Amino acid sequence: MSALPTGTEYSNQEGSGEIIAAILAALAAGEHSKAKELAIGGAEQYPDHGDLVRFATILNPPRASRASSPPDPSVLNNQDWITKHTEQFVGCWVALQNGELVASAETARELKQKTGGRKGLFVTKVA
Amino acid sequence: MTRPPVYGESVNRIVIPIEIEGNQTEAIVDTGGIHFICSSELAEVLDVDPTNGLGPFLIHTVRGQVRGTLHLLNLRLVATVGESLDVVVTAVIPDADYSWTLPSYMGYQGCLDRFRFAIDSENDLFYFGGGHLP
Repeated sequence: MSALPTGTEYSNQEGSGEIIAAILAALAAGEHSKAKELAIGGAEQYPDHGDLVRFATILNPPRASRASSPPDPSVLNNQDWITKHTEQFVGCWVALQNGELVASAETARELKQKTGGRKGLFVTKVA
Repeated sequence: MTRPPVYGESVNRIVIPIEIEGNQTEAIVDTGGIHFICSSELAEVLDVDPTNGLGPFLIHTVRGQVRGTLHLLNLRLVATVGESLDVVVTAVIPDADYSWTLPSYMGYQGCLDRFRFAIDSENDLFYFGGGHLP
């Protein structure tokens, strides 16, 4: 299998295509530090190249710098529910709230329909 | 908390609660892995915009090479005591036709290396925080 994408085109400014090819090869090989360095270097060399700048931004996100919200001890109830009901619900998608089952479904899409896209729920597939 | 990541396995992993786009879920801490990885199904439920990604192309993951897209994702590490923490991570979302049967993974590079963390295995605690050393 080629490391290069099919069906995806990137703009090619004098050598920038080679840098992108090298980034993709590094990602496919698991050399993510190399991919990150190539992307950062490429974005510095071609600061107007949208794709290279996006690679550099995605592969080098900012460090977390601040805490932002209060604690939520209820998440432990949801995780306890998963532990207790794994055998019963394995393979299913579940939506929980404060340790109570809100909905379950065979697919993620079906679960979203059942919950109406409601926010604030704990959603996972029981693996 | 710790538990086996998949039913039938016996080795415990660290599983922590996180929040994406206003919905909570959980992820396995994998210091030997890379990036944050979640299935395309979960991404859809959590309203992650698929058009914001770069790719698709082949990416090496804990499951070997998968075809998927790279994203910047805003995660919230949900604290049970203290303060929760917002983190921007590099995320890999495998293509919809690739069956990602594992739970979400928080790998080291591009995810766990974006904040400080410590593990107290005896008391089953995962500590985290942001900021800079004084």
